[in-house]
Amino acid sequence: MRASVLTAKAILFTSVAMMTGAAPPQKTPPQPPLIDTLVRELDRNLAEFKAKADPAPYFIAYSVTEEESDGISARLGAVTARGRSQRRLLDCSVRVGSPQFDNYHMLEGDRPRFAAATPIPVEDSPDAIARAAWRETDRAWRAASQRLMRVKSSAQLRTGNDKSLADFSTEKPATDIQTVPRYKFSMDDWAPRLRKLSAAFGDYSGVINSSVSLTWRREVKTYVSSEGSRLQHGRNFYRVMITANAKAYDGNDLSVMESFEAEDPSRLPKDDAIAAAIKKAGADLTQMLKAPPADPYVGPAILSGRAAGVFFHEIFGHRVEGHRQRDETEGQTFSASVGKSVLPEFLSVTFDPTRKSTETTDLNGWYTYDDEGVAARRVGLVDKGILRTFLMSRTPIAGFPESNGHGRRQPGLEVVARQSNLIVESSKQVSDAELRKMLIAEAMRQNKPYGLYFEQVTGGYTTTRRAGLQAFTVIPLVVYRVYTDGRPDEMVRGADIVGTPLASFGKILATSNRAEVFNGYCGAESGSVPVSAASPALLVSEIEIQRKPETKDMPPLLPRPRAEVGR
Amino acid sequence: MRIPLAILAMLAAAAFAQQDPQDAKVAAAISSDPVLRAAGEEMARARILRTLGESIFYIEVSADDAETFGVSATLGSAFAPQKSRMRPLRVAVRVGGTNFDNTNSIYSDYYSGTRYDPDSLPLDNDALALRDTLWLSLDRAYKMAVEALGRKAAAVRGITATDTLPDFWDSPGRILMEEPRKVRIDEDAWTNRVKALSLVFSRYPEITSSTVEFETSQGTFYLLNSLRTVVRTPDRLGMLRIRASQQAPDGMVLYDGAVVQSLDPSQMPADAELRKATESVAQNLAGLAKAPIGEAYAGPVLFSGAASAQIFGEVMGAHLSVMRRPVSDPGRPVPVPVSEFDGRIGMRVLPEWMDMVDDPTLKEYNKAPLLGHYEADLEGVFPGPVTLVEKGNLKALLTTRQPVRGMTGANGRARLPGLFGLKTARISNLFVKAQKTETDEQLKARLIDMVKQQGKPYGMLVRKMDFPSAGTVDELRRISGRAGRSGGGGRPVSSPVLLYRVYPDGREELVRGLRFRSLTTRNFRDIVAAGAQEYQFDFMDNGAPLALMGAGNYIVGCSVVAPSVLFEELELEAAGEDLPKPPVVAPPALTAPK
Repeated sequence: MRASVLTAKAILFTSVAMMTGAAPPQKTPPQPPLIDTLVRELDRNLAEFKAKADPAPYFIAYSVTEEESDGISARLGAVTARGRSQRRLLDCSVRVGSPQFDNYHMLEGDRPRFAAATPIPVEDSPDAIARAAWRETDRAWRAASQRLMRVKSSAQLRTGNDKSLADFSTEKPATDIQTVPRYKFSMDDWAPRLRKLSAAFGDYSGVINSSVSLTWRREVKTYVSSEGSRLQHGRNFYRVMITANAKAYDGNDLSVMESFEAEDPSRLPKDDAIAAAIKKAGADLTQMLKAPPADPYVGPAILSGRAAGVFFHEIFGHRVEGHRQRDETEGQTFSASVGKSVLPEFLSVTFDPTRKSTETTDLNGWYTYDDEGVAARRVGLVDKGILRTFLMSRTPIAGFPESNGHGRRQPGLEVVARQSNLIVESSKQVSDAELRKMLIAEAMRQNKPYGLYFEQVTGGYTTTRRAGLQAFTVIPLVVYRVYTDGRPDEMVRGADIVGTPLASFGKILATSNRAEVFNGYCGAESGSVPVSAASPALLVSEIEIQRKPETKDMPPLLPRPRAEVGR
Repeated sequence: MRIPLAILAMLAAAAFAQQDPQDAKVAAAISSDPVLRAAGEEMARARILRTLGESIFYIEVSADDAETFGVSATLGSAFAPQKSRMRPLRVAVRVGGTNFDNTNSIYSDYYSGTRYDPDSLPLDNDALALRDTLWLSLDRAYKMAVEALGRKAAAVRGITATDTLPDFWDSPGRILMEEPRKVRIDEDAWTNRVKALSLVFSRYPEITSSTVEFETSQGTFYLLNSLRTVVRTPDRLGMLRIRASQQAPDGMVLYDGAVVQSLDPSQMPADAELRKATESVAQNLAGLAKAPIGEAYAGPVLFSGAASAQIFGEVMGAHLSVMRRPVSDPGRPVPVPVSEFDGRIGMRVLPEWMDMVDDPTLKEYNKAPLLGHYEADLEGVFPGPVTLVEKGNLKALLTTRQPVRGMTGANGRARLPGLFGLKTARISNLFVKAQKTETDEQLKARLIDMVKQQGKPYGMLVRKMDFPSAGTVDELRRISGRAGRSGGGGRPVSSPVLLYRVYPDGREELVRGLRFRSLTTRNFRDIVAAGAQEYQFDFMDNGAPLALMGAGNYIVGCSVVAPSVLFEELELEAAGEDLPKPPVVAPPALTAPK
C-alpha cells in the first residue's frame, strides 16, 4: 500500500511564491460578508447544540475553500483542452467530548472523517450559505457523536501508553483578513503561444504524445472557529508544464517532463526559455530511445538537487509527520529519536512554509495559515544531524503538545501533519565538478565500472506503515552512467531507485554547493497538498536501482501521420 | 513493424476512390470538413493493419463537438457558471468476422498496453493534430480488438455455446451532411432566471435543500464508418432541472424534482411555465410532509397522466433493449441486466387492444416537440419507426449492430455508449396506443368499482413517479439493493412521488413512504383499461438506473406518449428503512425577499 505519493505530474496545478517586489497580500480591515454569515451560523448552532444536544460540541469550525482556475493545453500546434472553473467548498469540523478525549481520537488506523467538501454558491448572499452550514453542522455532529461513543468503548478495552495524550491542542485564535492578489493576466494571449511552442515536438519523430500547458489557480481560504479565529488568506498558482512520452522498441515507456511555477504571472518564463525546455525534453527523449535499459545496480551515485529533494521528502519527510508517531499501525521510525543523531552531522533539515522562494526558484509549499487556522512557521527539524522535533498539527504527540502550523488537507478530508517547503542545508559542500570527481573515486574504490547520476526525477512514494515494508521508491526520468575510465557519460533508461530509509541516510558522503527545487503535489491521507523540496545534490556511497515494472506492448504499428499522406 | 510509406500513400488515396460510386460520394462529402477528412485519412491507413495477424472488417470513428454552458442557484444565489468546449472521440474497430468478432466479451474493453491516445480530439481544426490523435486511437483500438478476439476464442473453446448468434449486423452506407446550427445563449439572462426561480423555495422554509440548474449543450455529431456512412448533424439541448428535499416531522427524507427540456435551447418554455414547474416541486414536498405514511397494499392501481408515460418509458423502455450475456471465462459470472423480452418475440406483453410504436423520425406530436428525434444513431444506422407491440404481442425489439434473438437487423437504436465494445439501445419517441379507451373519469370510477368488489377500503392512484430520479446516490443504492430481492431481472424501479388512496366516495388522500414491491413487464399484460386522452412525458436518459438525474456522462432525449392505465393488481410496501432523526438545531431563518 502506498502511504504517500509525491508527484509533479499527476495534478494539473502548482504553485509558487513571490519575491520581494511582487505585490504582497495586503491586510484590509473590513470583515468579508462570508465570514459574517459563517460566524453568525456558527454561534447560533453552537448555542442551540449546547442547550439541546448530548454530547454537546465543545468546538465548531467552518472552512471555505474558493478555487478559481483556468488552463489551456496544446499538442502539436493545436489547442486540445481549455477549461475554466470556479467553486467554493465548505467543510465543517465538530468536536464533541473534550480536548482531552474527543471524536477525533486516534484508534489503530481507524481514520475519522467528518468533512464533506459541500459546494456552496460563489455569491455571498447569506440564506444559501447559512443553510449549507446548518446542514453540514448537523451532519458532522451526528457523525461526531456516533464516533465518540464508538472510540470511547473501544479505548476502554485497549492498553497503550498514550492515554494521557490529549486529542486537540490549545492554540491562540487568530484574526487576519488578507486580500489575495488578482493579477492582470490574459489566458487568451497564451493560446497562440502554446500552439507555436507545442508544435516543436513535431520535430522529434520518436515522441508519441506530448503536451505544453499553462494553468492558473487562485485559492482563497476562509476559516472561522468557535475559539474566535477569523481568517481569510490564500495565493495564486501559475504553472507551465511540458510533458512528452515515447515507447522504446522493447515496450519500455519513456517520459520526460519540465515545469515552471510562479505566483505572479509576470514571473512566468519567456517563450524562448519554454522553447529551450521543450528542445531539451525532445532531445532527452530521443536519446533515451537509443539508450540501453538499466541493469540492476548497487553502487555510488549522485542525486541531483531535485532528485535529492524528492529523496528527502519520501524517506525522511513522511516519517517526521507528527500524527504517525501516535498511530501504532505506523512504523514510527523516528518516534524515539528526538535529541539523537538521525542524519550525518553536516546536514540540517528545516520545513519553512513562510519562505516563498529560494535564490533561483519560487517554492510551492508556502502558506500563511495552515488548515486548522494555525500560523505557518519555520520548523528546524534536524539540526546538524540531530532530530529536534516533528511536523505538528493540532493533534498532540508525546512531548509535543502544540501545533507548529503544519496541519494540512485538501477540501473534504481531515487534517493531519503534512510537509511544506523542505529545505536541506549542508556544511560539507563541494562544487558540482568536485562532487563528480568524488563519485568516480568512490566507484573506483568499490571496483565498479561506473557510478550513476540521477538528473531528473518525476516523484516517488513510500510506505510508512508497519504492515508494509519500510521502503521507498524514487522514480527517475533521466539517468546517466558516469564511467570511471573516462568514457563519456551514457544515458540509461528504465530504472527506479529503491531502498530502506534508515540504511540510506548513513550513506550520504557529501553535497554540492548549489540547491535545486522540486515543486509538486504530495498525496497522503489528507489528500493532495502543494509542497516543495530544495536540496543540494547528494553523493551517496551506495544506492540500489531496480528495473521499472513495464508493459511490453508494441509502439504504434503505423508511422506517425505526415502532412503529405492522403493529399 | 513499419509499412513502407509509398504503399501507404497509395492506399490512402485509393481508400475512398473509384471502386464504388458511394466511395466517390463519401470522398466528396468528407473533403469539406476537417474532422471527417482527418477521420477518413486515418481510417484509410488503419484498414491495412494486418500486423498482428487479424485484419479489420469494420471501423467507425465518431465524435461530438460540444460547447456547454451551465449555471445553478439555490435560494437566490448562484454557483459559478460552468462553460466548456469538448470533442469527445469514440472509435470502434472490429476484427475476426461478422459471425465471431472481438465484441461481446468481458475482454472487449480491456487494453493491456500503455494508453497514449487522448480521449478527445484537439479543439483546433489542425489537420495534422487531428490525424495524430486519430492515429493513436485507432492503433490502440486495433490492438485491443486483436487481444480481445484471441481471449474470446480461447474462452469459447471449452464450452458448447448456447448462443449461436452472429456478432455484427451490417447496414447500408448513407451520407447525411447537415450544417452545424447554433443559437446564442444569453448566459447572463439564464443566470438571472435560474437565480429568480431558485428564490421560489425561500417561501418554503421547511425545505432543507433545493437547487435550480440550467444546462445547455450545442454542437455537432460526426460519424464515419467503413460501410461508407458519413454523418454530420447538429446536436443541441437545453435543460432546466429543479430538485429539492425536505424532512418530514417524523424524520423521513422526501425529495422531488422536475425537468424541463428542449432540443432547441432557444425554444425553452417561457418563464411562467418554468416557475410553475418549480412551484410544483415545492408544493409537492409541502403536501408530502403533511401526508400520512402509507400501508402495504395489493390491489388495483391507476397510473394517471404522465405517471403512465413514466412507467412505460422506464419499465418497458428498459426491457425493449436486450443485452446479450458477454463471453466470459468458464465459470466466471458476469452481472449484466437481463431483459424479460429476450427471446419473447411473438408473445403477449400487453392487452390485445394495445399497441406500441417507437418513432425517432417524428419531430413533434400534436404540435408539441418530441425529444426523441434523431437522424442517425451512434453506429451510423439511420432509424425508422418500429412497431414494437401489435395487438398486445411483442413484434420487435430495439436493436444496435449486435444481433439479438428474434430480430434480423440493426434498427438504429444505438443511442448510448455501452460495455463490451457495444452500444446500448434506447427508446426514442415511444407511442403507447389503446384501441379500447375510457375517459379518465371512467377510469377512476372503474378503480373504485374494483375496490368495492374486492372489499378493500381504498384503491391507489399514481400521478407522478420519481423518474428520472431526483434522489441521491445513496437512495438509489437502497432501491437497487431491494430490486435484487423482488424480481424484474434485478432492475430497480423508481418509487411513486405522488401516490393517493382513492376511497369509495371518490376522495383522494396523498400518502408517502411506499414503493412498488415489484413492477415488471409482466404486470403490463394485466392492464385492465386505458384512457382516451394521451399524455406526453419527456426525459433525458443517461444509462444510469432510474435515469438518475446528473448521473452518466452521455445523455439522450426520449419522449413517451401514453394514456392513463389501470393495472389489475400491483403491490406496494413500506420503504421500511430506519428514519434519521430531525436536526437538533432549527434551520436558519430566511432573509431573502418573499
